Amino acid sequence: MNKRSRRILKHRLGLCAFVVGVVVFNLGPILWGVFSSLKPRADIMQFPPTIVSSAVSMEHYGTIVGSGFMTSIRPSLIYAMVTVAVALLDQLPRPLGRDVRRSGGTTAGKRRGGADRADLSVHELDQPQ
Amino acid sequence: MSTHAIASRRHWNNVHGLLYVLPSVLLLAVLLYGPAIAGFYQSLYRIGGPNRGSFVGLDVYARVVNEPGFGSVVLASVIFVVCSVICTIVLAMAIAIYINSLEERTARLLQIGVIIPWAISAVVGALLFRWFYMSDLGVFREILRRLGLGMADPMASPHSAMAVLVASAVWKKLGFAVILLLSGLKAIPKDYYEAARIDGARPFQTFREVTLPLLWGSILICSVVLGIADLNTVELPLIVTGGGPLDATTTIALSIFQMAFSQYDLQRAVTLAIITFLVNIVLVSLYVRAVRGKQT
Repeated sequence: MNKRSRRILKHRLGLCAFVVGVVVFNLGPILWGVFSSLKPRADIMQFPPTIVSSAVSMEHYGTIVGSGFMTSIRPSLIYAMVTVAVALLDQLPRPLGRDVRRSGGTTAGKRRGGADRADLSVHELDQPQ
Repeated sequence: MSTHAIASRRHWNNVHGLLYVLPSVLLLAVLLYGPAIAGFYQSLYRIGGPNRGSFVGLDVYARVVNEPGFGSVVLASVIFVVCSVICTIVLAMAIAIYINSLEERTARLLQIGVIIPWAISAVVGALLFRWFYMSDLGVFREILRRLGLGMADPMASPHSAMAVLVASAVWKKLGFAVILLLSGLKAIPKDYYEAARIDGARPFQTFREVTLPLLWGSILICSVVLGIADLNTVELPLIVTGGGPLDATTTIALSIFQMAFSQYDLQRAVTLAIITFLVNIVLVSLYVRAVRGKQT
């Protein structure tokens, strides 16, 4: 019993150390960016640096929104949506093409009617590669 | 049905099937093969300057390869790619094996934590890395100072600058490698571990005799993907070290970027890009072979 609880304690300590490592090394820069974005202007260039500032300020977010963020987010969204749409439209018929070639004789599309093209491609995607 | 009819029907089936792949082929041809071939063609002629359009053949290739800085750029790239791939794989494997041993919910949360640097925008990630780890105003060096481990500016020497560049690549791509290796670990049947345990294998023996051989395919694929990504990354050397000090961390990709967009010497940039393209083809064919090896 004592041995078992010691093992559990060791496991917990290891997990804690690992979590701290991930938070500091992997997420540190990102958290630092988030915290710094909330600092008042004077605190950002402060030396030595502090993680949490004296006051929370939203002034930088205001600056960003006021300086053309809204006009540049639109092209970004359009670009992302068109890319996804074109990639999907391009890839959608592809599994069906494979199906036709593989079955040799009758095409699945003809047998079931052309309408279930989307259905077919979803079915193909389910199969592990 | 006559043989002729069967043959023509088979032919129609082939055409029919290929029709579905046509959009992909067209898109690739227009967006990928076209520019690549056009780039190679252009590299054979003079771009700009007084003798614009005159045929120069492979002269520029000879010039680019014989430039005094070329050797050091290639060396820096090789060191950067090899070191970051090895460090990423080793760290990712340790993390993946550890996460694999945890229970479902904790494992998922930790996976998310590890993958976030990979998921954010490359330029933003590089800037944050530089700010957090390298700046005097960053937290990391403050922590080291508090611990009495004051560190000199990493940009002061070529070696530490390269180490920082490698660290930034490891930081950025670690999550990707962890996810890939974790899926490889999940695919190993539990029976093998049970058999190893019954036979009295120690943890290290289990790792060497069961995990490593069965994970080898995933490790290979992961290494090639990371190698290609590191070879072609511009934003990390550009933002984290700026290629300095004294070009010690200027990789081939950054060199192409500088030639094209700071020196406006498209001729050399295109030529060097074609050379890198050939190296990439070798890496991609390795990748394809690794994937095929894993499936059989």
